[in-house]
Amino acid sequence: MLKKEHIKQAIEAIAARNPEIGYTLDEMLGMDRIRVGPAGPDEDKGEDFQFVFNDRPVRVKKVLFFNQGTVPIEERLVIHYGEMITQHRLAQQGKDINFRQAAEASREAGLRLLVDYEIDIALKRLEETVAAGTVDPRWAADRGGRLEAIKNDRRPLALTPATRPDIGQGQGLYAGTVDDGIQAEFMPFPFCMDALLQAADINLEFFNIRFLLACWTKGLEKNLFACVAAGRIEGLVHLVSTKSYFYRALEIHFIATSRGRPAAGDDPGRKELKGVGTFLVAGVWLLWQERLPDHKDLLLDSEVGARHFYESIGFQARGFYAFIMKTPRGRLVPAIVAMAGRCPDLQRWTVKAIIKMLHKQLRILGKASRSQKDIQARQHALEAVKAALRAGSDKAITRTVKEYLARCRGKVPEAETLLG
Amino acid sequence: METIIANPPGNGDGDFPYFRRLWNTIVSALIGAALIPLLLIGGGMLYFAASTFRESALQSIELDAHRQRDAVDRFLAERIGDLKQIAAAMDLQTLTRPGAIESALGSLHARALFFTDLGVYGHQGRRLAHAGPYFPSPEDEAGTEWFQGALSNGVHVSDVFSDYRNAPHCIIAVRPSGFEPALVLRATLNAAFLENLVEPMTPKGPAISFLVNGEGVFQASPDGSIKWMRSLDFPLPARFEGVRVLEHDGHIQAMAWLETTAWLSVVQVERKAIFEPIGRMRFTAISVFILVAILIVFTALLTTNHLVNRLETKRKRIQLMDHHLRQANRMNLSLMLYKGFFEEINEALANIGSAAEWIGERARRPRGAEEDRRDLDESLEQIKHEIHRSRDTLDHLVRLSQPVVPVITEVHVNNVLDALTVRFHREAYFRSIRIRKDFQEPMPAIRTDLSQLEQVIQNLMFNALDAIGKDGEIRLETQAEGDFLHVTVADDGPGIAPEAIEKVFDPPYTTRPGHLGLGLAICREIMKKVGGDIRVASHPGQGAAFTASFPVRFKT
Repeated sequence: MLKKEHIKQAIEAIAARNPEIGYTLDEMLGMDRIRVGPAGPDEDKGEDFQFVFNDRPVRVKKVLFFNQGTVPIEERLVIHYGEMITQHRLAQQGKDINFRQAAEASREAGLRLLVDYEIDIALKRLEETVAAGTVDPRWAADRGGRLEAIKNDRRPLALTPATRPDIGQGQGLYAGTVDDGIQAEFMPFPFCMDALLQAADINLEFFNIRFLLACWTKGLEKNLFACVAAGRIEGLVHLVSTKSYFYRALEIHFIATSRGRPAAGDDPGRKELKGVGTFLVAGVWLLWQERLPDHKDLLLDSEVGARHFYESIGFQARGFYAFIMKTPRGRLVPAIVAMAGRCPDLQRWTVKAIIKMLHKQLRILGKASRSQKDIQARQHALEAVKAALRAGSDKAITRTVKEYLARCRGKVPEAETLLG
Repeated sequence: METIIANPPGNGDGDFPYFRRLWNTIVSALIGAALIPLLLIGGGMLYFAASTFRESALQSIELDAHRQRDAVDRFLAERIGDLKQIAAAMDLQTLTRPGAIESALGSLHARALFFTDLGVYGHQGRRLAHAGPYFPSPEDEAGTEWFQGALSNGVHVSDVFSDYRNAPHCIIAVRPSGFEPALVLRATLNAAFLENLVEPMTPKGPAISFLVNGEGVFQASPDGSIKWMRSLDFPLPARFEGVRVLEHDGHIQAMAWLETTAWLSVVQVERKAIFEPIGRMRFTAISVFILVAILIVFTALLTTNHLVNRLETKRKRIQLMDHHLRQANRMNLSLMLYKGFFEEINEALANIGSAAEWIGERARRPRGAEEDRRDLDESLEQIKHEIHRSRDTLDHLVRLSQPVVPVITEVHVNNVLDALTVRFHREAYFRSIRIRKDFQEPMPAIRTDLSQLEQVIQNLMFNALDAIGKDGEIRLETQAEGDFLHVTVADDGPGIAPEAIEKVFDPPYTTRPGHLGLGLAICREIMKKVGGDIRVASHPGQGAAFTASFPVRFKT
C-alpha cells in the first residue's frame, strides 16, 4: 500500500527538477488535498495502488511501483497537476465553458506536461552520459535535438523518418486486424509527441514514459514495437536478444495491452479492443522469422496469471515464469496468416514455416470435434485457412491449402465452400 | 538487435526520504542507548566472571600441587622414619643376628607393604644382613650412590628405577646415629605407592599429576598417561620455594620442589579443558546479547515508527492549521477590505427597498398615464442596477473566501499593486490617508504564487493603515534588483520601538488591542515558502517600512 512518505518522496523528486510544480504539490499535500486514499477494494487482489488528488482517486501501477519506486507516483502527480492548472486557467478565463472540451483540454495538458517533464529528465540524463564520456557527443546531440523537437510536435501519430530514423518513410512493418476486423499495424514505436501522449494516457504496465524515453536515449528504441489501430496505440512490446555462447534467442521482455486495465486512461468512451496481445505476438513471430533467423528460439517471461493465454497460443512453459514458443497454435495462427497475407515479400523460410503451421490446421479441420476445446480449435483453424485463401496471400501458401482441401473434400465439410 | 535495458530506468536521484533522517537518528539513538550500556555492563560482568573463574581455577591447581608435594614429602619422611626407628630399637648385634632383619621387615610389612626388602650394611659397604623375597644386591655396595649419599647426608632417596622384574621402585638409605663404626640401613620402596599419592584433586579428566627428578625424568604418574622414566619435553626450572604456575604448550602446570629429595611435583591441566566453562559462559552471554539486541532493535523500530507516525500526524495537523490560519487571515483581510462594500450593499438594498415602496405606491394608484409607466420602468431599472452591483460585490467576496490553488504563475507586481490600492481606496479615503505609488517602470514579471503575494501586501497595507490611524501617507514602492523584486510598504505612523523591531515577526506580537498579532508572522512564513524574504526598517516617530523581496524566478 502507498504511504504518504512515498508521495512526499515523489514530490521531492519533482521539486528537485521543477520547483514550481513541487511547490504546488507540496502545498496541496500540506493542505491534505493530496493524500493517501483508502485502499481500494481491488488493491489487495494484485490490482493498482491509489491515492487521492483533489478528491479524485489516482491509480498507480503496482508493477511499476515495485520496479521503479516512486516514479509512477511522480508521473501521476505531474499529469494531475497539469490538468488542475489547465482547469484553473479555463475557470478564470470565462464562465461559458464547454465541460467536455475543457475536460479533454485539461487531460491533454496534463499528459503533455508529463511528456515535457520526462523529456527534460531524459535530456539531463543524456547530458550526464556525455559528461561521463560513455556516448558520442554528436550522437547524443542528435538524440537530444530530436527530443527537443518532440516538445513542439503537434502532428498525429505516424511513422516517419522523424519519428523513426532507423525505419524511414512508410507504414508499419506488418498489418492485420484486431477485434474482429479493425485494421491495425504492427510498427516500431514512433517517437513523436502524439505517441508519447497516448502511451502516457493508456498507462501500460512497464511502458511508462521514462522507460520509453530511456530506450530512446540509449539508442535502444528499435526494440520497441506498437500495435496501432485507428491512429491509437493499443499495445506495446519490448524485445531483447539474449545470447549465450553460440545460442541466441529473441525474448519478449515486456508486453502490455490497454485491454482490461482500469487505469488505462480515464476516457470512458475509449473502446477496449480484443486480440491486441495476440496481434503483438503475431507481429513478433513474423519479425523473428523474417528478420532474425539467427535467433533460435522465441522466449517469454510472464506472470503466472497470463500463463493460460500464452499456452493457448503455442508457448510451452519452462519453469514457473519462462515460456518458449514451439509451433504457434490457437488464435495466433489466423493472426499470423492474416498478417503474412498482407506482407508482399515473405522470405521462403517464413512461407515454409507458415505452410507447416497450416498443415496442422487443415488436419484439425479434417477431424471431428468432440469437445468445446476441439470446437474452438476448429474455429481458429477455419479462420487461418480462410486467411490463407484471401486475395494477396502468398501464392505458395494459397496453392498448398487449395490442394489439401481439394484432396480432402470428403473429410473437410467446409472444403467446397472454401474452394468455391 | 542489441540487449536493450540492463536496468529499467528509475528515480535514483533527487529523492529525499520523508522524516527518514529523523527516523535514522532516533533508531540509532535508541539502539545505541540500549545496546552500548548492555554491551559495557554485560561485557564487564563477563570479564569479571571469567577472571574470577580463571583465578579460582588456577588457585585450585596451585592447591593441588601444594597438597601433592606435601603428601609425597610426608610419605617419604615417614618411610625414612620407619628405618630410623628400626635402627633405634636394635643394636648392631641384634640387627645382624639371624632372623632379626626378617623380623624387622615383617614388622614393617605388618603396617603396609611399602618396602620389598631391607638390608644392613657396614661402614665399608659390606652387607651385614638382608631380608626380602628377591636376590640380595651385591655384598659390597661401598661405591654405590645410595651408600655414599647415606653416609654423607645421613639419608638418601634414590630415583625410581626398575629391576629385572620391570617393577618401579626406589631405594631409601639411612645412616642411623649412635652406631660406631657407622652402618647404613637400606630398604627398597615400592614406587607404586608414590603413584597413589600423586592423584590430583582436580577432576581427573583435564588434570594429570606426576613427579620428576632433577634431570626431568618421570618418577611417578598415576593414570599411565605418561610413561615413567621418560624425560620431560620442557626445561626444568631451577629449585624454588613454594608453588609456581607456568603455561606451556596449551597446558597449565603448577609445580613444587620436594623437601626430602630433589624431585619436582607437577600438576598439569589442559588449558582448553580447564577454561571450557569460560567459553560456555561467553557463548551464553553472546547468545543472550544477540537475543536482547534483536529485541532492542525490534522495539526501537516499532517505537520509532510509532513516534514518526505521530509526528507525521502532528505535522499534518500543523500544516492544516497553518493553512487554515492563512485562509482565516485572508478572509479577515477580505472582510476588512470589503467592509466598505458591505456598506455599499446595504445602501443598494435600501435603494431597492425605496424603489419597491415607490412601485407599490404607484401600483395602488389608478392606472393610466404614460408618466406612471415611465416611473415604474425607472424604478425597476434602479432595482436591477442595485442588484447587479451587489451581486458583483458578493461574487468577489465569495471568490476570495474560496480556497486558493497554490499555483506559481507569471505575476506583474505593479498591476497587482494597482488593483490592491483600488480595494484600499475607500478605507484610506475615510481615514484621510493618501496612498502614494512609486513603481519602477518597466518592471519585469516574476514567477510566484499570486494569492500569497496579495496576502502579504494586504497584510502590510492594513498594518500601515492601522499604524497611521488617521491623516497620513502610505508609500508603495517597487524596485527590481538582480534576481529579486522588492515591494516596500512604508507608512508615516509612529514607527516601531527599537526593542520591538526584532519581535514583530514573532507570533503573537501586537501593540493593538483586539488583534491576534499573527499577520506579520504569516507574512514571514509565506515569504519563506515562495523563496523570498521580508524585513523592516523603522525609526520611532518616523514611520516604518516593510520590504518584501520576491525572487524573479521561483525557487524554494
